[in-house]
Amino acid sequence: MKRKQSRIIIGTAISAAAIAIAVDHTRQRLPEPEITVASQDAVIIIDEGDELPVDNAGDCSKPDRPGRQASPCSL
Amino acid sequence: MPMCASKTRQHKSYWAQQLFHCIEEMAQLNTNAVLLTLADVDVVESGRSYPDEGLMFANKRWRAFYHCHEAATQHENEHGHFHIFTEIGEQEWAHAAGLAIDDSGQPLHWFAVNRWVTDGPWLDRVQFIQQLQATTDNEQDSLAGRWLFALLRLHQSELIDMFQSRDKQLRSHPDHLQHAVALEDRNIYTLAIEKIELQAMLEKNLLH
Repeated sequence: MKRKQSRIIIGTAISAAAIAIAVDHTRQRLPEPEITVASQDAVIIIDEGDELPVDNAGDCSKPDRPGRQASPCSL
Repeated sequence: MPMCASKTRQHKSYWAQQLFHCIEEMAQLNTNAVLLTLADVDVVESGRSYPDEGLMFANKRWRAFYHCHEAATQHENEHGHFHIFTEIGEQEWAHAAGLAIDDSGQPLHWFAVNRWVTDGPWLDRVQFIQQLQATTDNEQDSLAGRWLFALLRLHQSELIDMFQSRDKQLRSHPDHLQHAVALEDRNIYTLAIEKIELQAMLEKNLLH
């Protein structure tokens, strides 16, 4: 009985160790993010002669025309 | 899908096994879900979402992206986070959860954000449970996608708790009677957090 118990404990320890080792191998340093100077919301192609669009994208003070910055984590 | 496979997927031990398989695969490659997501990126820019087209998983019913904010808006010890969305209609995506990641690529905690942060439709707790249980894993998904879905399913109870905390937090808002006003309050970014103890969670569901 004593021997059987020891075996179970060893088995459990190995499995727990396997989890710890696997998780540990996924601990890999992530690259430091660079702070962007200005974000680009979209590429707008303007045909020659056309008027330039009003540049208020991202201006949270204009709720009727919310830009991407109004919802910083949207899809 | 065979009945027994469907039933098996209701058990946490199934998702713990799936998650552990993903971790083992990543361990062999000395990588993690974030590094896999950023694999083709030369310079990581804060505020930008990766991958550009989004990370689709679980039969394209779930979608995520990873990004970093400038330090001032991050949670403590956080490198960046995944935002996870679920499809609730024709091309209609609702935010389900945020997943904060530390600088060695390990999950720190789940978090729920206010509606204005992610825009789109508001997902309630019942919808969340239905969405999670209605979709299944797909072996064809990317490793990062399979890891995300297994992590979500394994933490289903904790995420339901987080949704309850989120709703309780909203009810304590001065404008709680005007639900829409509270959801757009720019002073509130995070509504609830649920800590992740990965090692303990795996041990609990794989060994016991």
